[in-house]
Amino acid sequence: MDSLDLACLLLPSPHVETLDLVRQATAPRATRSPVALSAPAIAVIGCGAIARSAHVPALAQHPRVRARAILVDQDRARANALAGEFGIATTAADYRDVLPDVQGAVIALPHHLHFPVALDCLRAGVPVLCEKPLAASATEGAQLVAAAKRARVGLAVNHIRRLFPPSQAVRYLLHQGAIGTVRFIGYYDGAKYDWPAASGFAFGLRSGGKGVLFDIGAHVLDLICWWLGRPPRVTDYIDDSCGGSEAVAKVSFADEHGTLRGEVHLSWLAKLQNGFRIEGDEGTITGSIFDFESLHVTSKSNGKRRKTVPITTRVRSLGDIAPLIMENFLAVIAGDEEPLVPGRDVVPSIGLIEECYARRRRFPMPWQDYAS
Amino acid sequence: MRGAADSRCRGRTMPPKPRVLVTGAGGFIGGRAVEVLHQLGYDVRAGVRRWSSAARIGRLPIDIVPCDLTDTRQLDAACNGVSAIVHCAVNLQSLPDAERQMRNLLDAAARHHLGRFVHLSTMEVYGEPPGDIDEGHALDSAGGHSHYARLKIRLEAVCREYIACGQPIVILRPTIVYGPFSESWTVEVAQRLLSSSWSLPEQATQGTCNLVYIDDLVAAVLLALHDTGAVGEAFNINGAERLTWNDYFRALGRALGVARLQRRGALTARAGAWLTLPVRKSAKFLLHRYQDQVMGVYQRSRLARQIMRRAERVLRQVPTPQEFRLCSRTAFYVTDKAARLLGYRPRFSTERGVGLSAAWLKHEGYA
Repeated sequence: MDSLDLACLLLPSPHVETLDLVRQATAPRATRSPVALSAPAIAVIGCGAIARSAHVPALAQHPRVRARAILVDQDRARANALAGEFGIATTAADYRDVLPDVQGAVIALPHHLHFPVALDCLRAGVPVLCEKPLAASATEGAQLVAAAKRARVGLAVNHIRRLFPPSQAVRYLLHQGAIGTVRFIGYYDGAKYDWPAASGFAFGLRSGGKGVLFDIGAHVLDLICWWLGRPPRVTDYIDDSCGGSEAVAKVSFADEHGTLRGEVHLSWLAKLQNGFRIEGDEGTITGSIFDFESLHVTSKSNGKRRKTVPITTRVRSLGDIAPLIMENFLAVIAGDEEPLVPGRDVVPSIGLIEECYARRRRFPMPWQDYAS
Repeated sequence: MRGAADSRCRGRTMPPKPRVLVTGAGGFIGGRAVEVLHQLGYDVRAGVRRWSSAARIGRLPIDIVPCDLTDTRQLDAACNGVSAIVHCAVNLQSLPDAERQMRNLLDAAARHHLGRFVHLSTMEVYGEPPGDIDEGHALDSAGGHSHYARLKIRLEAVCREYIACGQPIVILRPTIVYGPFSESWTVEVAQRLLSSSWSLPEQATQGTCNLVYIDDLVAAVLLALHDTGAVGEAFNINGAERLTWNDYFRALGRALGVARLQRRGALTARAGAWLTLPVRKSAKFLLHRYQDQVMGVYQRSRLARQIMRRAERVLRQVPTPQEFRLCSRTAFYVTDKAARLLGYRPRFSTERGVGLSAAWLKHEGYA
C-alpha cells in the first residue's frame, strides 16, 4: 500500500462493503435532481459560531438556496447580522413560525435543544441536518430516527470527524484487514477550549453537567463505533466534573468478548497528543487527527517497518468539509442521497455517552481541594 | 461616580459568606478564586469576557455571566445582588482603554453599593529596584520597564482616586504566582524543563524568585474580603521562602523527574535571546494580524507546518531578554504589612506547592 486515494471518497454507512461504498461515492452525479432548478427553502436554526463558520457560508455557496434561506435565532439582532454578512434576506426569531415554509432545517443550537427542536422539525415533515450530539440519550435518538422514518424525511447529523481524511483512511484500512483483528484503540484529543461560543450553554449550571465528553466525545465515540462497525461497551469512566461540565475525561472500553480494549482521553484544558493508535494482530495504524495528508502503518507483511501512507483527498482542511455536508443535505432533501451520517448511525455512540455518565466518578485531584 | 461613592461606608463589615463577583474568572487567578469561594460555600458569580475561557470554571455548578468591562449593561447585570468584587480581569490593551474599563467596573460597584472591591495588581508596579521592598516603596512612576507595569500602575492610581471618594477597595500586589493552571510560571517552565534543551544558564538565574503558591494568594483575597482594616490599603502578597530562580527550576525539575537541567553558556544563551527577538516579534505580529490566513497556510502546507512547529519549538526553548532580566533581579517583596493588618501567613512551602503543581501537570498530560 503506497498511498490511499480518497479523492472522492465519502463513506456514508458502516453497513455496506467498502468497495461498494467507493463506487457509490465516486459515481457521477448526473442523475441527481439538480438542486439549482428547485432550490429548497432551508432554515438555519441558531446563528452562533457553527452557523457562522460552517453552515451559512456553505449554504451561501448555492445562490438559489441562499435566496430562499431563513436564519432563525431568538436573538434577532444576531440573526440579522449574520444574514447581512451573507446576503440572506429573511430572518426569524422562532423556528416554529417558519417550519411550514421550509423544506429543510439545519439545527445549530445549544446541545440540549437539539432533540426537542429536531423532533418538532421532523414531525412537521422537514428534513433535518442536526449538529452533534443529536440527542442526550439513546432513547431520544431513537425517537428522532422513528420520527424521521414516519415522516419519510432525512435525518442527518453533522459528525464532521467521519469526513476527516485520516478517519476515512482508518475505516478503509480496517475493512481491508490491513492490520488483522483489532485489539486496541487509543484516541487522544485535547486542546485549550477556544470555540468562539455565542452563549455559555456548555459550562457550569447551564451545561446539565455534561462537558467535553458530550461535545468532543460525541465525535470520538461515534468514530470508534464506525471504525469497528459495532459499539463496544464502556468498562470505566472518570472525569473532573465538580458538579458542572467536565473538562477532562477518560473512557475505557472493551468488546463483549474482551478481545479488544481501548481508551479515549479528552481535554478542554490542555493540548494532548491529538492522535490515535490502533493495534491489530497483523500491525498498527497511527495518525494525527488533524494531519489530513498521511497516516502511519506498521504491518507484519511489511517487516514491521513503520510506513507513512500518503492520503490523496479533496478534503484538505476543515473548511472543505462544511460544503460537502451541505451538498449532501441538499441531495437528501431532493431524495437523491442518503445522509453522509444518518441519525440511526449515531444512536449507539449516544448510548455509550449515557453509559459513561452513569458510571461517572471523579479523578483524584489533590490540588483542587482547598485546605482552609 | 463621586456622588455614589461618597455614600459608601468605608470599611463596612462584610457578611460571613457574601455573594461575590469574580472578574477574569476564566484566567489563572480568577479561576482559582472562583473554585475556592465555591468550595467554602460562598455564592460566587464568575464573570468572563469570552465564553471560550469558561472551560475550567464550568466544572463547578455555578453562575457564569458575561462580564465585558466595556459593556456597562453587562457590568450592571453582573454586579446586581453581589456584595463584593474580586477583580482579576486584565486586558492588556492601551492604557486609556484599560483605565476606562476599570472606571466602568468601579462605577458599577458604586451604583450597586458593594461592600468590598479587591483589586489584583502586581509587584511589577515597583519597577526593578533591588533589596527588600515593602509597600512604602515608591511605585515606578515612570513605569519604564514594561507595558504591563505601566498599565497596573495606572489602574492602581484609578483605585486610589476611588478610595479617596470612599470606595471600599483593597489592593493586592502578588509576586510570581504559580501552581495548577499557571501558564507563565508553571506550564511554560515545566515544558522547557521537560524539553531538555532549555538554554537559560545557571549564573543568570541567581536572582530572587518571589514565588507564591496560588492558594496562598487566594487566602489573601479571602482576608481582604473580610478584614475591615484592609480597606484603602495595598499589600504585597508573596511566599515565605527566599528562593533563587535556579532553586525553583531545580525543585520543579525534580518533581517532574527531570534528572539534570541542560544548560548552555551565558554568552551563547544571551546571543540566542537577542537573535531570536526579531523572529519572536514578527511571529507575534503575524499571528495577531493575520491569524486566519496563517492557520490556513499551516493546515494546507506540510512544509509550512514543519517550519512553524520548528520555529515554535525554538522560540519556546530560547529565553527572552526580559526573562534574563527577571531572573537576575534581587528584590524581595516583604509581606509584613499583610501579616500585621490582614493576618496573612503563607502556608505552602515550595516543596508542597511544587509537588501539587507537578501532580497537576502530569494529570493534564503535560508531563
